[in-house]
Amino acid sequence: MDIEWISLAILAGLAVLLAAGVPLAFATGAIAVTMALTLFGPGSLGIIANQVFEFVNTYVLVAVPLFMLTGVLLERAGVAEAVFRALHVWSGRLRGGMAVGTVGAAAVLAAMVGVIGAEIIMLGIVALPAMLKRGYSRSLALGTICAGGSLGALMPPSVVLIFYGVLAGVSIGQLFLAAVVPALLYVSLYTGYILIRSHLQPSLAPPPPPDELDMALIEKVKLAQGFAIPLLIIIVLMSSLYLGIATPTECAAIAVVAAALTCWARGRLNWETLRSSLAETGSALGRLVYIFLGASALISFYNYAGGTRYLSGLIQGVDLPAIGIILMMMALLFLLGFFLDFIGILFLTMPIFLPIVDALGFDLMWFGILFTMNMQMSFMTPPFGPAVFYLKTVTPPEISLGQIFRSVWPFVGLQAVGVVLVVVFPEIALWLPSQMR
Amino acid sequence: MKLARCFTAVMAWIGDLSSLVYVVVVAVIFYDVVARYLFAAPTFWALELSIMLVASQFMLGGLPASTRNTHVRIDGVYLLASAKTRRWMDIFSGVVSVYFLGFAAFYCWKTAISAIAIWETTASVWNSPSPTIVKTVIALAFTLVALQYAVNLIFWIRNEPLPDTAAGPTTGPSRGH
Repeated sequence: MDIEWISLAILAGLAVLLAAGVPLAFATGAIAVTMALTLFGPGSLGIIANQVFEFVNTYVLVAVPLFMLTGVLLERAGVAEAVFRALHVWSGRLRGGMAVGTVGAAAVLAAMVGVIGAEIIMLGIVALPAMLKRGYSRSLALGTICAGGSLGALMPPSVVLIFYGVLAGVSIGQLFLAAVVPALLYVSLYTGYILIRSHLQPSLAPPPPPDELDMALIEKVKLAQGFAIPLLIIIVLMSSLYLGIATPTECAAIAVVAAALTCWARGRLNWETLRSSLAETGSALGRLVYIFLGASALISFYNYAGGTRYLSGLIQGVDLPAIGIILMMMALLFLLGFFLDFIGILFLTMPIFLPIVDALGFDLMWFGILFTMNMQMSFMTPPFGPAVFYLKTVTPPEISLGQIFRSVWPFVGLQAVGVVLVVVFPEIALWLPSQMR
Repeated sequence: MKLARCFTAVMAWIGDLSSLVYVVVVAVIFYDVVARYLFAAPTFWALELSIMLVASQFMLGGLPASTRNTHVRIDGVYLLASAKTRRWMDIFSGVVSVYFLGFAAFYCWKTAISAIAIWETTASVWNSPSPTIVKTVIALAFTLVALQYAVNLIFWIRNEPLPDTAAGPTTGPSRGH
């Protein structure tokens, strides 16, 4: 059978299975098994077993559950509330100040957690009611939380970056460094957008009541204490990582201990909290890992059938300058983001993209940052938008899923601008790691 | 059917129980860091032990999501479909899942059995049997997840909802991003 037909058959099979609601992990796996049986004979299936072992037996992956656990524990500790209150009183005089405060709080939380789930839920519980009570437009409030909360998967420590690093063979520490400025770029794009939009349409973001504005400086400083613990965690995390005192995995273990202490200090640590946090983390991990198992089985059999070579030829055959190919890949990743999870996209596309990116002479670290920035959009775009689903679980019932999905578009636009900026100016990502080398 | 419900509950329990390894993993890594910097005596077993525990958890962690069928999937069409169509979609997805998981389990057992036969070890200072253990857990986990989907299939064919295995009211919405 020709590789063109095989490729088409895989795409069609995948589309049918996914539309029928088969879990992504098992849909990709089932196609892989079928391919192996028809093209290579049953003996080839042993590869799956080796692949699974190689993958789960990776040291850096130990960091993933630990960073996820940190997020869940901090959520249970109610850290978000303290950070949010401390931040928004300081930005109170600005038009749209509360939304700006939300973005700030999101950035701080993102620097402690590696996943978006815990962060979106925290912001949804704390910042959304506050903004709605103040009379902020729903659309602005919802969009701000989805976009801000998604920073958790870009700002180090990001789980997406860890998985990319494992796959591309790039140092996780360097990747974390490279993600800092792009994450701050998103923060400033969001902030700029909120300020301009609420300046043009003041009705979207009503100002605070006078008593809050007249709050004594001493009160504000007191509120700022809510910041102390998170700031300490971030400083310890980042400095031990950047100074090479500890590996990402060790940093993650330290972060868990810090998060558990925070929980304890706020009187929220008990057996039930711990047990449910662990169970939640463990189950989330299981789902991620099984997607890898299916997707990577599919991609390796496709590779044996000559698929990767075929697709590389197809992509490189396009009459575009090198940078055009990168932009085309970005567009493709954006489209896949509508339907697939970041981990599925990562393991299905990167084995094909990475050799091409490398052959074109681009930096794989830079490409990893582009990928991760791109995945920020995939978290928010319908019909499969995890950020929106998480937010929906904590919004008042009168806010519909559709309404949240409609609110994210301006932010998706800003994220696209960010991706293009980093494509055109790779220094945005590469400058910081080059300083530390 | 009582047996099916019982099996589902046990699988959810095993999955949740596996997450307790993280308490050990955090303690072990934390101890290793402290030992290295405060006592200048890094351990030779912390790394291997944590990888072994985490690898096993990765595999068994798929069980709770399997008992609730909450593995990541695209449910756009599913949500639009009628109850009757949904039942057929569930049955179809159950069959596809068992097909993949069954093959995966079979070939993982082959690898696991050859590892057990030679009692494969890491050949490190500690020389733990971690490869043998992890390979066995992989095969076991695939088998249990496959069996769980077979059990789910029974519920779907009989047109009964999956048993509720949520770990009590304090469990928040499930997340993985």
